[in-house]
Amino acid sequence: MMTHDTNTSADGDLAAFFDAGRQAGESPTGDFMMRLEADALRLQPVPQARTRGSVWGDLLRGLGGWPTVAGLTAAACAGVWIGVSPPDLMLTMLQDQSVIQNVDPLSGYDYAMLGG
Amino acid sequence: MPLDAMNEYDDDALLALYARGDAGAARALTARLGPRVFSHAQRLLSDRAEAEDVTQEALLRLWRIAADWRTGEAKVTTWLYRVTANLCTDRLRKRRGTDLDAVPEIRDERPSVEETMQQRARAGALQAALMQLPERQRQAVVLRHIEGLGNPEIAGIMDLGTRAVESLTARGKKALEALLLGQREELGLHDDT
Repeated sequence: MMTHDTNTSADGDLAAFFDAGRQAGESPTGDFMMRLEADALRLQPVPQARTRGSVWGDLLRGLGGWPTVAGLTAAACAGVWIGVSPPDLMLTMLQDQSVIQNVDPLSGYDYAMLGG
Repeated sequence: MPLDAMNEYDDDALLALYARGDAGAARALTARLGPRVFSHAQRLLSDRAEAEDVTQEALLRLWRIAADWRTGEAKVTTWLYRVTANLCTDRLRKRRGTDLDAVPEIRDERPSVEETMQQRARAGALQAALMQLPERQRQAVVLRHIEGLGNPEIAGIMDLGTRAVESLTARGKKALEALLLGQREELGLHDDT
């Protein structure tokens, strides 16, 4: 904050020089001010900017970005591959009903727990 | 928001608006801070083109950190004066030894009435004397006696204690007196002025 009035007494014998110095302050040209303004606008953050395809952008961000999408894609491909060409071991397991019961995540025990 | 309506906002608030994408805040801040930074740089460098470069760079830095600015932690002007002074110091270091005879540039575009001429001559003499001071003394004197800042704010800008600022300005003033008081008569100043 400018405090020239209160400073004048502190200027002492140099008051006339400081006063002249304050009045002779250089002013920037209009062109230069336009350049400064252009810089300010050019570098201004645009946090609310929406671009085309932003729905996909939002979905991508919601899923956790490209690394997550890559992981999901790999998992999906693996699932499709296993479905198309299941390993022999899996076929054996599927034919054995007891194995399926052992790995059933919603077994009778879980239902009992959910029922309180 | 219209430019006039921005007058009621302080620098911190305007910078926050700027960071949120308000173009009016960008214009208002530029109009408010640009001339101030330029004037300060001009006083430290005594070179219009270099002062423009420094002003542009200082403001670019402000725009770049606007989104991360922590309102209330530091005054925008204090930060800007500090950045400006550092940029000026860099320029002066590069210039040193190659441009010692630089003549202070004082604009001459107002009506040439006697009083105006004398004011301009005094301002020119002051600028020439300022340029003979060590950089830190010059910066402290300009901030205190021309920009009109208080010692605590200058201390923040120069990263010094207030006592050190007082010492710098006192020494700077003493040096200026030695350089200028002998010219009082020829600059139209008499003992009763």
